[in-house]
Amino acid sequence: MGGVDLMTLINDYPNWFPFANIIIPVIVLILLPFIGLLVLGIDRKVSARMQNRIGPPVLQPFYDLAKLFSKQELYTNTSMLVFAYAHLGFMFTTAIFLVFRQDIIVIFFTLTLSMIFLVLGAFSTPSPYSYLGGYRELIKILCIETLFLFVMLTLGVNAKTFLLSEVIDKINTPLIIRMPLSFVAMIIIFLVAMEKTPFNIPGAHSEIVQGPLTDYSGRWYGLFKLSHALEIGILLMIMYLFFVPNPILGIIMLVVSFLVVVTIGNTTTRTTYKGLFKFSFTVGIALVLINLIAVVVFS
Amino acid sequence: MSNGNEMKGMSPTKEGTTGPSPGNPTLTVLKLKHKGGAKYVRGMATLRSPWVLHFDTGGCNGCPIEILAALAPRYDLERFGIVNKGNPKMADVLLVTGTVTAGCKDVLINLYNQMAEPKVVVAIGSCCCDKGVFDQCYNVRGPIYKILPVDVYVPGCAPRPGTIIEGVKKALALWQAKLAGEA
Amino acid sequence: MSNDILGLMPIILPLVGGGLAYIAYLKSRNAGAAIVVLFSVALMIAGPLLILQGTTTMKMDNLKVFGDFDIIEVLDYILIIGFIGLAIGIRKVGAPAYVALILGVAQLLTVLYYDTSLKGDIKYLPVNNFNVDPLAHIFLLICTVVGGFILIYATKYMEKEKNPSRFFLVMFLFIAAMNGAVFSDNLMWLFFFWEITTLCSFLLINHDNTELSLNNATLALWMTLLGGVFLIVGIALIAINYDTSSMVVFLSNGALQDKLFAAVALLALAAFTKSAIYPFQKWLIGAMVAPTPVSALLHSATMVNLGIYMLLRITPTWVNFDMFQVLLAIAGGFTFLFAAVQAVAQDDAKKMLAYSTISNLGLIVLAIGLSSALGYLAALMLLFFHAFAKAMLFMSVGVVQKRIHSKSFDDMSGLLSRMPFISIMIFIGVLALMALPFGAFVTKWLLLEGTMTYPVIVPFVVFGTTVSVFFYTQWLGRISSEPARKKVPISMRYAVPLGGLAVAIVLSSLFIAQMADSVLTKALPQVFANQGDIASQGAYSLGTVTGFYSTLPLFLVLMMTLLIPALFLRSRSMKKVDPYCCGKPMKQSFRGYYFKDILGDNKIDLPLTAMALVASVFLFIVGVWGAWT
Repeated sequence: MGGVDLMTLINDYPNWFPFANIIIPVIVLILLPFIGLLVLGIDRKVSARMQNRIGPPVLQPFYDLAKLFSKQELYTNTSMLVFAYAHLGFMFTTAIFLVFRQDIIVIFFTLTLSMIFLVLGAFSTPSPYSYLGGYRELIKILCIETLFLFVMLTLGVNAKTFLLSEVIDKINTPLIIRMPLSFVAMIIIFLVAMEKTPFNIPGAHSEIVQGPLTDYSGRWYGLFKLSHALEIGILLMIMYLFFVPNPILGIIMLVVSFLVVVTIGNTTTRTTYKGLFKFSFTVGIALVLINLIAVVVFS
Repeated sequence: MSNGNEMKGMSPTKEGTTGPSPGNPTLTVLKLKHKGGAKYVRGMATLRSPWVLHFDTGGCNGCPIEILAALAPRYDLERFGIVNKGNPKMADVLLVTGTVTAGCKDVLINLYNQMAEPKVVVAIGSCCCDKGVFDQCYNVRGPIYKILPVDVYVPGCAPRPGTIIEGVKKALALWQAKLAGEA
Repeated sequence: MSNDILGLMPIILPLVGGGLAYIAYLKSRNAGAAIVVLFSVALMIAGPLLILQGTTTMKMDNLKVFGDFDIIEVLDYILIIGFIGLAIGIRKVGAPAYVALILGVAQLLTVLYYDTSLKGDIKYLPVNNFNVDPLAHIFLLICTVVGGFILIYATKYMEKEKNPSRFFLVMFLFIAAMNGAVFSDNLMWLFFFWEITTLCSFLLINHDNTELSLNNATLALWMTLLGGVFLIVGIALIAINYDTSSMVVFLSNGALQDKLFAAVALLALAAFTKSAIYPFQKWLIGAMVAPTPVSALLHSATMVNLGIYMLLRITPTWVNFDMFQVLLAIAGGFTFLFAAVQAVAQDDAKKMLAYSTISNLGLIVLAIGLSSALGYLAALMLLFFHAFAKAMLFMSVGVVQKRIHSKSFDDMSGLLSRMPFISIMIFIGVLALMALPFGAFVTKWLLLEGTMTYPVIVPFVVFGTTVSVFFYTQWLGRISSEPARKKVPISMRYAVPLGGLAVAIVLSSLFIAQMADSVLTKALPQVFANQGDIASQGAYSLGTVTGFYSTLPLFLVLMMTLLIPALFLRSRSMKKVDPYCCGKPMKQSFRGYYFKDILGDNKIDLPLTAMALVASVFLFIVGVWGAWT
């Protein structure tokens, strides 16, 4: 694989120009939400084409954000607004820790804290739909974050360190070879993060309106959409950086996983929360546990 | 027209509003005065993302079926960025169908008040524009222009999806003007 | 001599204070409250002063009565006979009382055997009966600071309850006994103070003297008496095989690898009963019928930590015995996970906090079972933060209960607007236990870092962490939900202890690196002293061999995104609207999801306890057998 030379090249980036080790991560950080929004737009276009219609333009999420930020501000109480800030703030912190190559476990916990604030925002609004959405979101966190933590742990155990900078240093072969089952679990996590059926239980439009974000409008809903895009960007970056770091093969891998996710999303219907629970705690846990045990045994 | 059950909720319509009439056609398309600049760009961007709330206030359900047909793949309103959000807080365009019955009048006003400015209201179908076939029924509280300030009337029974799209187009032009005018 | 007096202050002050409070409360409630506050503040000063003095040793070998008998031993006999009398007195409870009677008799017989046959052969008596070393300092700090705050809180809480004189006497007696237990180097003294805490626990749980509280108190009594039996038999075995009654001498014999391991296994089981590790967890759940200051002090911050103290103390004995370490870690992990699972199904706030306490204690035992510097430090950190945070949560729940007369979560809607100070305290307490950047997170971080070397603990830590997020977040969501209510004022005697604890938690979380360096590392036993697994890098950052964690950036983010918007967000330019309920006005409030049909107590309690019982018997057998082979 041509990944070895590229990896050393990437790891040498602090020497490209002065202050490169700050400027390049900042550029990546600014690009992450853009990439996330773009992926969401492409997703809508591809889904529309699969359904034999034209669909919105690829830049649609940007237009949505522009519109949301120019609407009048409505609120029901002030705590819901505070939680919106906190959710975006900690998602942003996760992205910062990721581009600046901090500890993987700290990254995971900041992501979880951001999700917790989403749930608190859902509960703090009085609508019954946001209440149901909050509980469903909590169950989704329970299932998906468990899988995600196992994947992160497998990553660290494989590289014998949890510091991202050193983990990337030690990747000689793309991890998709050493951790294929974890990669499948990452696809499941990506599917849930993209809010695709069969597991989009919080955002169940026909059941509970908007789910956790029912009472958010205008600018505040825009903040949530922005952090959702950031989350997608973070997941894509993790999948690229660890599993297939090669620029050509990595992009192909991302495109293939994206198409797999979109296809599954367009050909299945939504399960119940019990279905998600059963799936992630049987199939999902089996995948990550087998991979973890294999990595431990063969290291 | 009060029938004993006095309804709560104040109607946002101004006094003395009259409905559509043959001599008073639906509003013409407005053109933006400025071209260029941040407001124009923002106006052009936001115009591409109008979110819709559809609410049926009691009728024969023919107009809602046509609206759903407009959203379906054949007419595909989503290519304009139009999404049917069921939530007034996230909606820009309120599509109202049916005559405003007694049970729905307060709900309609509540939903209208929960929408964020700028917003437009489109009355679809003859029943909505001026009571239609349900004129003189005991539980009709309409016509709608006495309850909500309507921007576009789309007459028909039921109007075809193409007509509905035409009406929504006019509403969007008005919405864009409100965006530019307000901000 | 002055060393001795300061050293004994944490024991003498509570005793004197308890007596005076008893007398004062008989006169008037205000006088009693004043005495309690006075002695609590004195205690909160005396404890840290003693810690600043460094390691203190006190010989205390001249307390003799009736000629040559050690006063503690005489009191011990009185205590055990008292237990037997108590068990007979409460025989109307039925079978549990008779079990307690049998256990009391067993203790009496063992102590008699010890005093007659074994004591004469002991070669190595304790050099200093009281040895306040850095490990004891941590427990002393928790006991005095948290205990002092709780007592101040209790003066207001018990304003209208009956029998405050006896209540405060027993609370002060408990604090004295707790301090005595962590000071003791003499194993028999440790046993005495241990059993005093058992007695105090019984009296305080039974404070209301209803049928329910008597039943629950008896359950607690016989379970902790069982632990006492394990303890005294273990002490007897140590005396037989090591000819010593001193903990220091016992530990300095190095890692035990022979038939003496039965003693260690017994001491570990005694610790399990005291710290409510499965299968001995039922008594802690029943103890929640006690008044809230009791739950805060005994059953979250101090008494249950006595078992942890025992395990921390005897850690050097099993450093070479891998199988035992693994079993200990699994016992802790099992408790951590399944107590969290059971907590999901609770709708009573105090029961949920009780299960959460058991869960955290299980995590501490898991960390101890790792038997490394990393695990030991993680255990100490979690111990510290859990004591402070859980006491804060229990106290807050007590205030809420006084106001809304209900402990159920479903009635706590709108608490953020009704009692904002208490809600913020609950937020800080819960975040301190589950989220970064606070202290309990550091433990989970350290343990996950430790998965390099101990992969077996991974499933427990992972599942337990995510399940605890569920029930904590559900509570936080409930208190920040609507409907908004009118704000009610809060008394100073509630606000000052809670605020003090909150400030302590935030500051020690921010400066956790320095705390680890200065206070906690000193408490490491000699075998771990130079492992260097964790080091502080800079004022705010901790680094291990495999990871890095810095508190300051996270606190800044928390401040910028949570604190500043909460304080300064003005909604004047925004329009307030109704919530979305299909256009209808919102009237109802909602009950929570507790999944009682799958996770309820009556469904999974028995299977879990049975599983854990089998596992602990296995632990004991392995402990004894494995040491033979």
